[in-house]
Amino acid sequence: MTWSGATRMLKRLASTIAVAALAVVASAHVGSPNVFFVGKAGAYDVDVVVRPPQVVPGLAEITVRVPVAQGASVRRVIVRPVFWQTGTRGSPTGDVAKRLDAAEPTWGGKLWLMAGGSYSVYVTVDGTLGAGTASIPVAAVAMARLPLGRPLTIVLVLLGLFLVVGMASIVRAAASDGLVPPGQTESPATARRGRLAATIALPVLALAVLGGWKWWDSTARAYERTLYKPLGVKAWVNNSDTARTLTLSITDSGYLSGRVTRILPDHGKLMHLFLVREPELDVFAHLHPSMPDENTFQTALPTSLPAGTYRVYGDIVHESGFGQTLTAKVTLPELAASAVKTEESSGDDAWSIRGERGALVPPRSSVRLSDGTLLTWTSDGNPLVSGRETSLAFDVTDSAGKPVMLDPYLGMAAHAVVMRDDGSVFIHLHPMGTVSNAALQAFSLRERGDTTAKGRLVLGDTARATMPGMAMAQTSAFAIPYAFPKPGHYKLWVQVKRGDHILTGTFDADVAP
Amino acid sequence: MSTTLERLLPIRRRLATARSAERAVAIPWYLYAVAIASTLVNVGIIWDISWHMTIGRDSFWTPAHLCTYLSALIVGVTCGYVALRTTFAGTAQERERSVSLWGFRAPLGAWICVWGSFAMLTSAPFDNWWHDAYGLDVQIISPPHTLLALGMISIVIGALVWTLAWQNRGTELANDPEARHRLHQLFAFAAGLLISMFAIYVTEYSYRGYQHGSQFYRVSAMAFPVVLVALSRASNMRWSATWAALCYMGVRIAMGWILPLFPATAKLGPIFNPMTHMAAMEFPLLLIGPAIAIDLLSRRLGKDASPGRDWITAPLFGLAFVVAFLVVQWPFADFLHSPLARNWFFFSDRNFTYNMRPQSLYMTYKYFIRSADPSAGAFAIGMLVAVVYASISARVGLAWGRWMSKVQR
Repeated sequence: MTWSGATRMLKRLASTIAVAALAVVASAHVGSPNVFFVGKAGAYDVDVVVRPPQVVPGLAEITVRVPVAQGASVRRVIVRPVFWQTGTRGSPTGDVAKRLDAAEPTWGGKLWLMAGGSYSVYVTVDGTLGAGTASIPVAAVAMARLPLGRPLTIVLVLLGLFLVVGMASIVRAAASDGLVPPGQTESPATARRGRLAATIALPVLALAVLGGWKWWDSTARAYERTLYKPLGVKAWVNNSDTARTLTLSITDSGYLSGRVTRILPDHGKLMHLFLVREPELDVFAHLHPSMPDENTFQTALPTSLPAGTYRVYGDIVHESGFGQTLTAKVTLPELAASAVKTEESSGDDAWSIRGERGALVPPRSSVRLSDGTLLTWTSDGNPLVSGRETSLAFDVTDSAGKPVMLDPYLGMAAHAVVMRDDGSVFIHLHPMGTVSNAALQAFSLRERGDTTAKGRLVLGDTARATMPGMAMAQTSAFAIPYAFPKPGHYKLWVQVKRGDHILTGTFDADVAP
Repeated sequence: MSTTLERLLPIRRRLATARSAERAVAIPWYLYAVAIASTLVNVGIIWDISWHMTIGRDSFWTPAHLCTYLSALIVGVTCGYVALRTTFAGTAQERERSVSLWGFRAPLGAWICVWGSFAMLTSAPFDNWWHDAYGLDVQIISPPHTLLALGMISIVIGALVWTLAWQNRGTELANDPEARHRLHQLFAFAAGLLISMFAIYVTEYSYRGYQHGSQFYRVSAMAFPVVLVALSRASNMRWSATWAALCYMGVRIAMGWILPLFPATAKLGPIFNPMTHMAAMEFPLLLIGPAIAIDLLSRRLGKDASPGRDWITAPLFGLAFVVAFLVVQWPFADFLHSPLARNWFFFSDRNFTYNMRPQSLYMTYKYFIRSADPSAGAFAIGMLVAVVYASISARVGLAWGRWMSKVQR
């Protein structure tokens, strides 16, 4: 009776949850929540992956790889999440990570992320080369609703049914033979009273179950409001015949009223802005707008960008070390032909309008850059698989096949952007991984006491201006750690710098389930 | 050799005498077993709350959780054994003391206990999913926790009803005043554990910082009269609600003294308040005050009043509860905020969790601003509403108490 109704409701709830789980934007970056970091912990090279939880408070998983030179060894690896507002003094002591595999230098552990916001995960390696610590910024945000699986639904419905019927039976006994003194037999009147009590109890119990379900529903709704959403922005283009200006304005009231911390330059830029033309994803631009005021980003658009509808992604890092991607869409009008210049970069801004692209078919794929050099993506020979950690390895050679030395581009050997063709994944990567340099910097200032819990940098403009890039040696090859979060067709734009020019290579990749 | 044996003989004789004395006090072992399970339920949940306040990290295997599982296990084994034995190998007397459920026979209290352990079992996967879906909360009041609480409360109620059936029949122990006394003690203890369960469920509304706002009295007026009035009426014992309230306070005070003896540090961040020892829940509410008032009123009005008269007496019980509770708890809340309570005896300085901010109202011994009524008039109206709630709660308690006083099996 009422229970079939309850089952239907449970089922409906489960299916709504499942749909909601699919529809959600899953990260401070878009659709790519896992954090990859390649760097140093003291004298050790470390390769760290953090898989944040879908809900906060929740458990993140961390794996740490420490490839050590011969003769050296690692005694233990300690992992410790540090919350922005409390710093190390307000964080529990770290946990010793477990060695995952005797043959591989890999350690694993769990991180308890109890508050939403910006965390830094301290990875301390202790061994024959002494102890060293790396800190990896991780954004803890609620990202999705968990569906109630079918087996669990069945178990809960059956046990619930058992409890309701059991309670009704207990009520019957309590109102009838439970009141009959030993030695006497139950009279028909007493038995009737028991049945009547059970008949009244059933709808009351059903009502209680319904109340519980409503309560559950309201909790689920309240939870949904806590799901992460990037700051709201409005984007528009002002144009004349000869120039176009793109403006992004933050509309989020929390940000405008100062409840969200201000924005910090990352690689010396307040925003890394990416434009990708729909629907073919054939035009790409990486620009760096200025901020005429605290809520507005503005940049002149390259004259060579053809007209069309563009997806806009703006990567920013807050003073609390929290990084996120703002998203919008704009339509670019045509410019007068005389105003169009043909160069593909200007200063640190660079774009690619040529349709040319390489498709990765293992083991390699090459694409010719605008200066005639060859950018080659080499793979380990295996096809790309969703969820598998891999190293995206590239090198640059001249027409004779000789390595070509690269200059640092915004402090990095290269920048790459990975995007799924439906836009559900978008992330800005470097050889050091997914983490932003600015977030690393913010946490080190925080530990020294140079910022407040609210994230205001007390050193003022000097600290803002001197955010250094990572010192790096010149190289012709680089590798980027990453795992494609889901199967599908992806686009990769890889950018390197030679002399004054920034060169962009485009690749297609299919990722298997 | 022989001398050793001779020396041991008197001990053996004494042991034998003790055993036969125990047999003379014919309280069946399973009443003790479910009383122990009820105790473990209470100890487990208070320990678990302290664990969440201090250490924070939760897993299936925390000692507090094991304590709770042990109670469910004791209930399962005891009631399962009693039901199987009564159904298939019970004496005529045992069968007469039981009720039939789905073809099996066992005392009513045992069935309530069994239901409780199944409710606890059901809440486990539900709660696990809940934590995965909405976060590793430290919330006491959520749907799966409510199911768990219903299960735990059922175990305690089952123990109480089982004990009462023995008390109400009176026939088996008619000639054994010592056993009757022991039965009263068991009843008072189980009743205290029941009050404790109700008190734990409303913890989030009864922190000392709330105790000068009418909301606290309204919540208390819903939760406590039902159980105090029912206990007062259910037993043929004098001062039954009072003894039960004392047992509740005793359990909570004992836990408040014992837990902070153990060193512990927080294993979860953010830590705003570094911990050195296990935290304790607050000093218990002074329910002894309203319990005395209710017992007095109950004796004055007679325990056997008709259901019709209960409608008239319920508001009297409601009023008595609110007035007596206000009179004792209001000044006591001031005391708990004062430096006089910051010691091992009243443990007001041991109620802080790792994630409380040292500058917070709670940690600076101040009343919560949000709990204050906007005006004296609003407070008066709030308290009148509390009397209405308490009257409804008391009416339910009267009916429940009437039933408990009649239960035979």
